[in-house]
Amino acid sequence: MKLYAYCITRTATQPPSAATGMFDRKTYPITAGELSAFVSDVAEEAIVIDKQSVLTHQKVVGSLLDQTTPLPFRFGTVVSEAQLTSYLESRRQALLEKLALVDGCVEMSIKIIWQKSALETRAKTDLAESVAGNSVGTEFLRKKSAELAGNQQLTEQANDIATWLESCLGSAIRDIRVSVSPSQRLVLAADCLVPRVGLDSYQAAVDAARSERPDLHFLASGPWAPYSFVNIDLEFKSHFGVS
Amino acid sequence: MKLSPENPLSAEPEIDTSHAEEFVEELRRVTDSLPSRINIDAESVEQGLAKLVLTLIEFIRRLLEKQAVRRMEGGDLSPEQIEELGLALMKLEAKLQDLKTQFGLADEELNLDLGPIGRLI
Repeated sequence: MKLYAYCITRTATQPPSAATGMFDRKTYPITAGELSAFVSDVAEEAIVIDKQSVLTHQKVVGSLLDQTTPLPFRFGTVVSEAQLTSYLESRRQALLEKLALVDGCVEMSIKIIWQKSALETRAKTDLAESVAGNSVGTEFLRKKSAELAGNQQLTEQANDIATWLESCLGSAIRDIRVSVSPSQRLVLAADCLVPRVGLDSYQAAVDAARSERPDLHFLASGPWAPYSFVNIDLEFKSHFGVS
Repeated sequence: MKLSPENPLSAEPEIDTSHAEEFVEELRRVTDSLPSRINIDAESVEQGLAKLVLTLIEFIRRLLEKQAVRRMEGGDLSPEQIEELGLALMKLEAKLQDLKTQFGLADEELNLDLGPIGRLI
C-alpha cells in the first residue's frame, strides 16, 4: 500500500474537516515527533492528472490551511510510509524551520499579460531595414542581430515590470518569487508570501497597481498554501527518488 | 475573500481578473508547451529522447548565433567571414527545423524546465 501525501504540519494540527481524500479514501496524519504528514492510502503508484484529483488535493490542503500554514506537497506525490517517516525524522529541524518561515502567512499569486505588439512591430521594421542589400549569409546574421536587439528590449521592459510590481507591493508582503518570460504574452508570474493579518493591505496594493498600469492585464489568486516558498516536494523527490 | 484580520484562519482561494478568457488561453498554451516526462515505453521513447536532444542542440545553436552576432558587431569579422558564418548558421537552423518536423515537435516544445532556476531557453 502506498500513501498519497498532501502536506506537512506541526503535530497538533487536527485532521481536515473534509476528510475525504484521493479516491474517496480517508485523510489521516502520519506522525514523527513534532511533525505530521497528512496522507491517504492509495493503490496506484502514480495519480492520473484530472480535474477531480487536482480539486481533491486542493480541498485537503485548503482545509488544513484554514487551521495553520502547512508545507504542501505538489500534486501527485506518492510514497511509502517508511520513506515518509524517514524523511520527517531526518529533515526534522529543516522542516520546523520552514514551518516557522511561513507561519501565519499564505501564498498569493499574480500573473500579468502584456501587450507587446508595438515593440514587435518596431523590431520587424528594424529587421526589414537591416536586411536590405546584403547577401544571404550576411542578411541572416543581420536579421538575427535585429531579433536579439528586440529580445533585449523586451527583457528590459519585462524586468522593469517586475521591479515596479515589487515596489508596489512593498511592505504588504514578506517575500516574493518572480519569474519573467519576455517572449511570452504571459510576461510575469509572481508568488507572494503574505501575512494573513495583512491581506487587506496586500489587496489594496494590488488594486493600486492595477489602476496605475491599465495596459497590463492582471490575474490575482489565492490564498494558497505556500508551494513556492518551501519546495519540500523537490527536496523529497531528490532525497528518495520517488514520483 | 473570506480571510481577514477578524477571521484570519478561514481561507477559500479566489481568482480575480477582468480578462478571464485571455488568461485561460495563455495558461492553456503554456501548460500545453510544458515538457512532459519521458515515458520509457517502446512507442514514446524515441520522441521523448529526440525532444531532449533537440532541445540541447537548439540551446547550443542559439548560443552560437549570439556569439556570431557579437563578433560581427564587434568588427572581428571580415565581410567574407560574416557571409560564411551566416550561411553556416542558416543551414544549421534549417536542418534543426527539418528534424523538428520529422519528430512532430513545435518550437515551443523545445525547452526544459529547470525548476527554481527557470527555463532553459
